[in-house]
Order: sequence, then C-alpha cells, then structure tokens
Amino acid sequence: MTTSTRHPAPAAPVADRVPGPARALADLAAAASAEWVKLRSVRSTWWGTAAALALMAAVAPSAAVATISNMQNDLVASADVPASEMAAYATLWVVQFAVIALSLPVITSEYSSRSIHPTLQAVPARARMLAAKTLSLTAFVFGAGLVLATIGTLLSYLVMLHPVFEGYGVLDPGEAVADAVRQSAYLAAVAVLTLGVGTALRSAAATLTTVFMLIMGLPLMLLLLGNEIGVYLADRLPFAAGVSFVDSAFVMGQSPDALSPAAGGMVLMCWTAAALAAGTLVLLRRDA
Amino acid sequence: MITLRGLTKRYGDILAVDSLDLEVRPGRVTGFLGPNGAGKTTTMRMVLGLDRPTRGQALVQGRPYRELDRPLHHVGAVLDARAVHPDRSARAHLLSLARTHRIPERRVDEVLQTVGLAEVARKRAGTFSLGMSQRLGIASALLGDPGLLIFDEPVNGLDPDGVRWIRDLMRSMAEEGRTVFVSSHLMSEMQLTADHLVVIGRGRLITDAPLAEVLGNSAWTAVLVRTPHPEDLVTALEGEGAGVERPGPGELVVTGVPVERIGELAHRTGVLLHELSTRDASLEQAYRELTADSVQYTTENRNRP
Repeated sequence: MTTSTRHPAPAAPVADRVPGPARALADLAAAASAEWVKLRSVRSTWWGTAAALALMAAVAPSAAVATISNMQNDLVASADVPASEMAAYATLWVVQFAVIALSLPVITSEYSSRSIHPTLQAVPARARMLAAKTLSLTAFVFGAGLVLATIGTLLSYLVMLHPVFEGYGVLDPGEAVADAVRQSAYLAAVAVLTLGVGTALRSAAATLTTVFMLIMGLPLMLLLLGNEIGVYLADRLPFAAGVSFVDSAFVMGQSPDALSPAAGGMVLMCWTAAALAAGTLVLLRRDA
Repeated sequence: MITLRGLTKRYGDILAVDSLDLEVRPGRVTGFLGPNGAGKTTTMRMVLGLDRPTRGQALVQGRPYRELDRPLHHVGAVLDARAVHPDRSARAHLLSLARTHRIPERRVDEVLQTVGLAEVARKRAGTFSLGMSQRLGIASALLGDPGLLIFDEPVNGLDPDGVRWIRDLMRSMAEEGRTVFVSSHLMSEMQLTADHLVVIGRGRLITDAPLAEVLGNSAWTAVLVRTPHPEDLVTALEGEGAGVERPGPGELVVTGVPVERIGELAHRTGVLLHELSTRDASLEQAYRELTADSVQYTTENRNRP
C-alpha cells in the first residue's frame, strides 16, 4: 500500500505548445491525415468508389448513345454532343449516389461502432474533428471525381466514334477539363453535405433517407407538381443547383427559373455549409 | 491526476452522477467500484470530455480534457474495447490515432508488440475476440505514453493469463509514477490490483480510502475470540459498543473493535484466551456492505405468489 515513486516519473509530461493559429493549423493537418488513414482503411470507401466507377462506365456511354439516337430520330434538335457532358449526365443521375454511399459511413460508422470515443479522445476539439473529416473526404472525392469524369468522357467519346453515331461526338480538351472539375466539385459538395447531415443525425438510415429526399425526392415531387413556386424552389435545391453549376443542357431540360452556373455553385455551397453547420452544432452540444 | 469537483450528470429525472468530489492521485492504482448503474462509466466519460457535466467539473492535470494540448500524451483511456470500426485493421486503427498527434509509425508497431497483437496487426478488428479487443484498446491507451491511464472494466473477457498481464501492467504503470484509474465490478480483482478504492453508488461517493483501510475498517473486520469464560468479556466488549456474535460455546465473533483493544480488555478483565485472531473481511464483503443501500437494480420478488 505504499505510494511508490521508486521509478522515475513517466514520460515527462509534454510541454504545451504555444496556442495560436499555427498550432491550430498543425493540429488540423494532423487530424486530416488521421482521417485519411481511416477513409482508406475501410472497405466501404473502395466499394463505393468501385460502384461509382461501374456506374460511370455504364451510364456515360449509354447516355451518349441515347442522346445521338434521339437526334437521329429527330426527337430532339441535332447538336454537338460533348463527351464530357455525357460524363456529367452520369455523375448527376447515378454516380453521386455511390459517392453518398461511401461518404455516409465516414461519420455514421463512428457512431454505430462507437469508435467516435477514441476519435474524440484523440481530437477533443470537435469542430476540428469534423473539419478534418471534411478535408480528407473532399480531397478524396474530388480526386476520384476527376478520375471518374475522365473515364466517363473517354468512354463516351470512344462510343461516339462508332460509324453509326459519327458526326455528333465532340471532345474539346479545355471544355472537358472544365466539365471534369465542375462534376468533381459537385460530387465533393454532395459528399460533404452527406457528412454534415450524418453528423447531425448520427444514424445511417436517417441520414441516407434525408440526403436522398433532399437531393432527389423533394425536387422531383416539386417539379412534377409543376406549381410555379414549387419549380422555383426545386431549382434552388442541391440537385438543380448542381445541374446549373455543371452547366450542361444534356443533364436535365432547361427550366425557366434555372440559376446561372455561378449562382448554382453558390446555392450548392450554401446547402453544404448549412449541413456542416447543423452537424457542427449537434456535435458541439450533444454528448458523444 | 484527476480532479472532480461537484461533478453531476442528470439524464432527465435520473441523477447518474451526484456531486462527486474526488482526487485520483499518481503513483497508485485507484480502483473505481460500484454496482451496475452507479455512474462509473458516466463519470469516466465526463473526465474524457465525451459527456458534458450538468454541473461541476472534471479536470485532468488541472484542466478540462478538451483543453489539453495533445491529449493522448496526457491520458490513455479505454472505455469500450469494442469501439473500433470492425472493418479496420488493428494497425490502421492505431495508426489513425497516432497520426492525430504525429506519433511516429514505429510507436504503433511497438505498442502492438507490447500487447501481443503484432501478428494480427493487419487483421480486421471485427474478427477479434473480446480479449484481443481489450489488448487493442490497451495498445491505444499506451500509444502516447501518457501519465494517466483510465480503464473501464479492463479484464472483461480476458483469460487468466490476460488478467494477470493487465494486472501487472497496471501495477507497473503505477509504480512508474503514473496515475491509474480503473473501474471494475470484480472486487477480487481490485483486491489484487488497487492501492486505493473509490466506491460509488447511485452516483454518490460512498468511500474514498486506501484499500487496507477499507478492508481493515473495524466495521468489517471480525475478530475471532475463543475463551472458556466468555461472559465477562462480552460485557466488557458490549460496553465498548462492539458487535458480538456467539457462533458456538466458548466462541465469539467480535466486530467494531480493533483486535488490540480486545486483547487489552481480556487482560484487564482477567479472561483467559485460547485464541484471538482477525478474520480479514474480503473486499467483496466490505463492498457489499458499503453499497447495500445503493444497489439500483435489485431483483424484486414482490409479485411472486
């Protein structure tokens, strides 16, 4: 029962570093690198990426074929069909759901496995933890988006080289790069939106339902109702804002209320920021 | 060093932790005991900044956990060994924690070695047995070489070798001058590991004392007396306020008076003694007495016919 101090004190307590922006930034970078280790070390990330790839490879060339067929059958006015916009079509209609599937567990699995405890023990500044997740997820999804867009664009272009579809497909490198960047930015925005909603709701099922309703269910319902205010609102929900931002006439018929690409980008960013803000608020206030 | 000041946590109508004042000091193993639902885990969660106290403060090295610079170098804690993404390998789990503090990768391999998981380092944590998970949890606690270790029920699911291993680990950590705060419902385990005991019930502090004091408290340590003439001694003992039981002719079991005092009384009253010996109360027994009033989930038989 003696209080033993025979051994030297342990690990001399680490001296505090000087607080300030430099320390905060260093800690954020370290936390983001930790989040990247987590992101790459679970299968859901790679399954989601593989699914995104498969969907892109299947849908982008199919969209090219369908679009040109419609033009050949005079269902729509003939025009140049940029290969990169076929990739955009795939990104907005299908690929984004694979990205949601890989983004969702970044936070919801922390709660379902309770690994949020070790996570917050290592990074007790909760806003920093979420910022770190945001950074690593954004970087990964944006990078993956560029690869996906490139593959979709090239496959679409290859299909359109076939003699049956000749004369429609175009591939302007400058436009293609711009399209790829915009699609990837859209995917990153959707990924962060999912992360924000997931942080606020914690449950995977609730998050998936909410994100899907926000991106697909709600705007579809409003557009189908056709009410003027409804359509106006639908154009300002994340999906339509994304369509405006991506700036392709092929993704969805042009709406009279559609936003300009810049405004679409801004509105999309606002949605993402709102979701992150909601997540941060819950994270800071609720017990882990 | 952990300091609790009036620490209180309320969930709706239930006071999970009620005005706890406590200091957990370095250089010894402090056992944290209490029946299920006593508030042990909630207290630990507040110490780690996972839960916000309703009132009061939980301080680590004099500061709230959230204000610690590089907390893993101050505190290593395992609340729930299973709290690892089942899909992630043991190594990736530790590496992600290490990265937050720029702890070098070789330290990850070092702690994996220490806890004996080096060979399964790349296996998914979801395939681990509870014992292996406990070891992984301990590896994560050791990662930053912290001065304070907090374990919630660490021997759960460990085989006897594992139990001995963690007992030795905690002892040596304390001997090195670290603070070790460990909760357990296994009293026998605490008796072997802890130097100091903190017992709570219904969120309230029941006792905060050295192990020997809890065990040696006269209220729980019985003294066996054998004498051919008990009557005179009983009178004297009862005069001292002792509890006296008579299990057999010429036998007394005395509680509430230290053994030295009984010897003195026997001498003074001139009673011949055949035996005078202490029977150490087991911690189990002491603990049961301590928490008797505060067990929340006792079985109720009232509705049975």
